[in-house]
Amino acid sequence: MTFIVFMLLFVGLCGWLDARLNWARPWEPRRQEVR
Amino acid sequence: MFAGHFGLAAGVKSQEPEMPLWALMLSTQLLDVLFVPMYLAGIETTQRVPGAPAYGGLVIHANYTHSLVGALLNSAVAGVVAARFWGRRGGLVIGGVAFSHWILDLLVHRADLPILPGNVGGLPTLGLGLWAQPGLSAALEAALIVAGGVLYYRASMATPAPAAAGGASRIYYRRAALSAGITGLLLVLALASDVLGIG
Repeated sequence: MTFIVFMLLFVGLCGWLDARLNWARPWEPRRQEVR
Repeated sequence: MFAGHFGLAAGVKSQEPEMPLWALMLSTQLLDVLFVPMYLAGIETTQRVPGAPAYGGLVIHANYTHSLVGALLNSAVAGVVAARFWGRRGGLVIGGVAFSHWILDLLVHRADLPILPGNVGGLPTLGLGLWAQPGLSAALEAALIVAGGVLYYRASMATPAPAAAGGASRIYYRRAALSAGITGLLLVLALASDVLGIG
């Protein structure tokens, strides 16, 4: 259980930070373009 | 091995910027994620090595999720699912990253990785046993973290600011540096939790 919690924590935090960078994600419109 | 897998995911992200980091990180841990319900069901087990430290001090009888054939099958399924979201290349990347877990485990595990699911046929189990030398094993993980973190940071700073960001590119790069820096810090924390036997 500890493993799952840690794993999700790291995946979630790193994934969120990475998504905030708004790197090339051609399958969805960039956040700035939506505004 | 917990942090090292994440380090590899960060390195792959630097080469495949269109792939979301969460998907790469999750796929590097896929075999361990599948191990959890198998462990809770009592199908796969662990056994502490007497006198060994918490870090790498287990013989892991993950005879289904971590068998060579099981890992190949699970990675293939992950690749097929990923291909539906990110195309053929994305599927190959996710499948490859998922299987990289078995390769890295092969380096550190004591000889507890079977070839066939359920260790059918009693074939020799595999593992180069780097965990028996925790210093070397931790150094390997640290190398993966540093290499992955540096590649990720460099790639994030080299990625042009989105055109729509216009004059805000300095803010974009500051944000990129901050995000990559925090991600690097999280990778180091993952290594610390690994070595301290938390998680």
